[in-house]
Amino acid sequence: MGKQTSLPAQPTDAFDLRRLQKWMQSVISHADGIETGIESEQAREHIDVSAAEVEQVIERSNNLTSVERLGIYGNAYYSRLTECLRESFPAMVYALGEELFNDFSFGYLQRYPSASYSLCQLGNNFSKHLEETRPDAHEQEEGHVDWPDFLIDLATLEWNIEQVFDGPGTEGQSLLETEQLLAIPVDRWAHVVLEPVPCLRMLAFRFPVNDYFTQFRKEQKPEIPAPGDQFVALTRRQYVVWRLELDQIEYELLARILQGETIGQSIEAVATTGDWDLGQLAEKLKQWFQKWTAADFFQAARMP
Amino acid sequence: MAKARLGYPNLGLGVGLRTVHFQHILQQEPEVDWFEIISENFMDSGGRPRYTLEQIAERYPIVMHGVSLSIGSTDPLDFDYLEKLKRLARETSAIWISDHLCWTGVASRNTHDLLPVPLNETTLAHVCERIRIVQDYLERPLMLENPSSYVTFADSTMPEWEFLKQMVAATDCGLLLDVNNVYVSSVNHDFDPHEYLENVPFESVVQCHLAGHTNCRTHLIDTHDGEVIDPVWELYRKAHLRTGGISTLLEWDANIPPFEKVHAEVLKAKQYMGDHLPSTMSPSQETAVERESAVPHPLHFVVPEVR
Repeated sequence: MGKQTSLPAQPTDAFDLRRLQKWMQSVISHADGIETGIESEQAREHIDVSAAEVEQVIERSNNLTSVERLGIYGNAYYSRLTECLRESFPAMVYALGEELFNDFSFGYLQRYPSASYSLCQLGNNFSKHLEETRPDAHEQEEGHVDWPDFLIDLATLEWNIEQVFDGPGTEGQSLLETEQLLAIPVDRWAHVVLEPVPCLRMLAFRFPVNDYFTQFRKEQKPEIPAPGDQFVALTRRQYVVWRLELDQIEYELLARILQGETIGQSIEAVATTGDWDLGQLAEKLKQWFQKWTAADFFQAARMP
Repeated sequence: MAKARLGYPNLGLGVGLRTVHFQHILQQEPEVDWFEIISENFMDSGGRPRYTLEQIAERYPIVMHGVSLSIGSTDPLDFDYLEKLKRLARETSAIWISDHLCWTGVASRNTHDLLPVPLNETTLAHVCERIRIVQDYLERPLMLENPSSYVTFADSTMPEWEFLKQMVAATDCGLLLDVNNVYVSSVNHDFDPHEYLENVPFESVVQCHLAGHTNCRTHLIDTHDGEVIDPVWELYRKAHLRTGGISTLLEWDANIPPFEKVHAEVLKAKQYMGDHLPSTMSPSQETAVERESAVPHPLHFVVPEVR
């Protein structure tokens, strides 16, 4: 495709395009504004002009100076991306208030600027950023849980909901039915490996953020809760994200199954870690497997 | 003699597909000629947005419009992105693929903005080379849109229309002429939008965009959040006359009203289609809402359904 038309000779006084783009990007995304951005080391490394000299690069218009014109892009950069993060983390916005959330986002976008063609990946490192910048990072004791953990857990829940919503799913496919599971001969049960659906995610929290999220969705104006373990499975059915709360032991068993262990290996591992009456555990197992198949957690059961 | 619109059909009057209208479109099946999708919103989607698109694509012609090709960037082209673009086009039977004459980031970053390029021979050679590569990879012509812009470069040596003219001559790519962007840039950069339009290579224009903008008194911002103003309709009337009929699409991306209102807005284009019709509007009748500031090109974002 395309004719190989010869183009006019390149002007000798042209700024190198790559240097110009690196300069402009560093100026419009500078955290302290356009003028500071122009004067910054990272901008001057590419094009060495001061704010007073910037008309050598960006022309003024009849109504606006060069700095004011660049400011339109600078203002849009953080506003646009912060708006996107607010959409991804609505419960976080509620918990923090919009102003504080915007401050968190501002720091996040400086630390983790977007590197993807898609805005759908913008919040990918948000909970990681919260972990890395928690104010009590240096004084944290093993097992100590505090409000930064609440924010990290809530961000993790919201991000995973978004990923499950638009990620791969199993709509239109046949999944493992309870009857199929029950039809497996008893002597082979222990060797069965269950294949999870691609949209199934297991999450362990230090705060009951799933309850908090539910109350937020119902506009019940929840307060930040007291610490407390909560275990949640996320999955998707008919394009809607479902959240299912799990017992801790149920979570641990399911996590092992998702790692590819056989049912026998998984049960043995959790049975030895808890103070379980075997009869009680057998009854629980039956309930859990029924619950999991009813919730479409598995695509298939593989036997050796 | 070159075929009008590069041989592509005049699809009529279309609307930019937005998630808030999904349910209405599926249930009501409105009599819209065609839809334009934002490519990046569906390239990686495995959930409801993609499922809905597949249903809509069964009933309506689809055209793909991207915001991250970054044809003007000096970073290497992203062939993973191009592969996904090509696959989506195949799976939705997209009639054509468009993006913008811009760069969105450099050094592996994406600002998610449509940043302008200096209009000179250096950039022209760079952009043309990349258009050829993209067209070869996609195995179809690429349509590029004139962006709204807020800066001009001391390094520019030619007006935008001249750049577009040389670009299409060198690459056989098509143009997506956004008449609102012409108007916005003309105010921001102090040029005559009618002079711009007189110099557009109309034989390469495949599609036209219409949208509303925000008047910030000292400049205009392309916000896609309101009705098309009269001076922009006047430019559209001229574009329609020069092309002899062109696929026309309305973009409405912020404060999105019910579907009927968006559709009614693009249907106003019919009033500007007859070449016998005199211009009824004076270009001085600016009616855009005035605000101190605004953010250009609002985001397209999908809110999850969750229980």
